[in-house]
Amino acid sequence: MDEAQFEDIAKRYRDRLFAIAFQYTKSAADADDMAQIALIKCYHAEKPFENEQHIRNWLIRVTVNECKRYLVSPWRRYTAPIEDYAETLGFETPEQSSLFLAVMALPQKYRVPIHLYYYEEYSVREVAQILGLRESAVQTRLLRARQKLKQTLEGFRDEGTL
Amino acid sequence: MKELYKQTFSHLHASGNAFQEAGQMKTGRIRKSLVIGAAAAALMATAASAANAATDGAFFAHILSFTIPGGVDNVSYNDDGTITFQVEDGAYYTVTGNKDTDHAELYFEDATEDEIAAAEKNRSRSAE
Repeated sequence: MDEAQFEDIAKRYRDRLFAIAFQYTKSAADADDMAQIALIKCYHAEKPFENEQHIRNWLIRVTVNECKRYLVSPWRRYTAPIEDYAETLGFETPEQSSLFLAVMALPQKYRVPIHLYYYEEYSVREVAQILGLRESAVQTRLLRARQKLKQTLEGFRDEGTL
Repeated sequence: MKELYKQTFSHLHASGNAFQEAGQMKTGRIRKSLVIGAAAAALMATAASAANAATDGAFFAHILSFTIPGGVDNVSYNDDGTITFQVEDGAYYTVTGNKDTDHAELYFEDATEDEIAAAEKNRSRSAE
């Protein structure tokens, strides 16, 4: 892979890889690291990629695998409260802010499938392949995530924050 | 839901530094935080042995042993009991070997006061 190709891929994918990694780490600094690792591995990949979809799927899988390693690592940095980070993101509407906080309040095992399904628009089968889960497990996690989100967002409405 | 989700999470952006450092990493320079695990292994170097002797064995009593590829250079023993050393990519790390701590701490050069305070708070909480 040459420099120009790498820079093009990095520009196109760094934010998406960051967003996926953030679902695991809840830390912007650590999510940066995970995204960076995936991009560097992409640069050094021995076999050429077949097409754009191949690059995308490969990068996301590597990011997910690095994040799984991260979760068992003792070298995690101090993480600022998620509410503080949310304030830096500049959401245009209260709904966006509430949804972000509600998603980040989900357990990680629900957050990641939700993100891959809604943001990356992967099918249930594709999410299962990326995460190494059965399709039925992904279905269950998506269902439970939606239920929890509904409860949380209704709570925000009751409080008047939404 | 899908549209709202995409609008919401499109606000997340990697830092510009991460992009630049990815560009640097591919040429072989090592990002500080990725070396951190290996840097901790510098405790196996001569510096750690000296620190251990200076603290009557308390230093090694509280750390795990690792090895670091490339070794360490420019070791200095600081007045506050910490040890500063330089690793292969030129970055400096400072390790605390104070026997009052329950394990060796490793701080980034750019660790903020909040990060250090949070680490110390977590340590005292786990010691309770």
